Amino acid sequence: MGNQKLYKGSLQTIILKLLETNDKMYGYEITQKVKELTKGELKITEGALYPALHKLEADGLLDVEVAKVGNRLRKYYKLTESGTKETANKLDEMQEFLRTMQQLVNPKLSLE
Amino acid sequence: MELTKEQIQLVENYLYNKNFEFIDLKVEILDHIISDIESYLNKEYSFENAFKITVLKWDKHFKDTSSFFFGFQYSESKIVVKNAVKIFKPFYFLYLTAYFLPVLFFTKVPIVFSENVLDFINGFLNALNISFFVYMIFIIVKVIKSKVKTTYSFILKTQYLSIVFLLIPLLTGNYFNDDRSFIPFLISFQSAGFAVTYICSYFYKKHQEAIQKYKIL
Repeated sequence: MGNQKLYKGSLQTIILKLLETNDKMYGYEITQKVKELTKGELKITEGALYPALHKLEADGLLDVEVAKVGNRLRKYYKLTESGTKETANKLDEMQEFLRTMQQLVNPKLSLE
Repeated sequence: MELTKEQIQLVENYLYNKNFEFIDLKVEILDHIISDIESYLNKEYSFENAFKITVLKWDKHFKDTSSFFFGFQYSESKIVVKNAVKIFKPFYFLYLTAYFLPVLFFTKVPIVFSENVLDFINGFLNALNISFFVYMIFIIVKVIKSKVKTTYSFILKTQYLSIVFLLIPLLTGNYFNDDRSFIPFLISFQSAGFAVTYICSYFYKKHQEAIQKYKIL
């Protein structure tokens, strides 16, 4: 398992990207999807996930809907219009960050 | 494999015993815990064992925690406090700015007012102060009376004491030194009081919205 602290600042971008690809998702589903996509490398804890989701919701980037599933209720998150725009910005920022890190960590590779 | 109504009731009892009755969080936390248990049931665990393992993981999220941002005398479940901090942080900096900016400005630049505007400014600030004070009391009473817990009501609870920022200038009634310049700390109290009223008004609205959204569920 990698250093979880390195991923901490990227949690909002990860959530936004997942919602861009999956239309609507619920909390547990997000944790499982990240685990699956990263082959268990990244595990999002509930204590980090929900505050991040609620902050995105409070900022107007996510919309919620509650639906009955079996014997219980489930809260789904989906991107708002400004959430979709912000996802594109965040992904650009992330690409830029990765390029910069590549130059720092592996200068030879980044010159090729 | 889905949990039965009786098994879900056991999970709800667990949350109740943890004093976790925050309606804006409860739906998804309950769903998450149930999903965790179901994933164990799918691996052929008994309900009792699946419940025990899941609860072991969740216990740490319900541990009583406090935060520097609200004051250490206010504690709640860790997951609620973390949620509240994330939402409240930008307002905390607004609060600090509202307090420190006037005190720094009027200490460095002691503007002297003419005699004939002093009464008008005192009257105007006192009138504003009284209306904000009454509004704060209204919010406090409404939130306490509603008895419904949300992340926002927790944030509001931590702000009630800040009403002294409105009360002190109100009791003094006069914002000027003998040389007709502002008393910097009173202007800062007033400014912080206005900021607190704005913050409380914002979170009160959010609290009301959350009640409307989740209480019927």
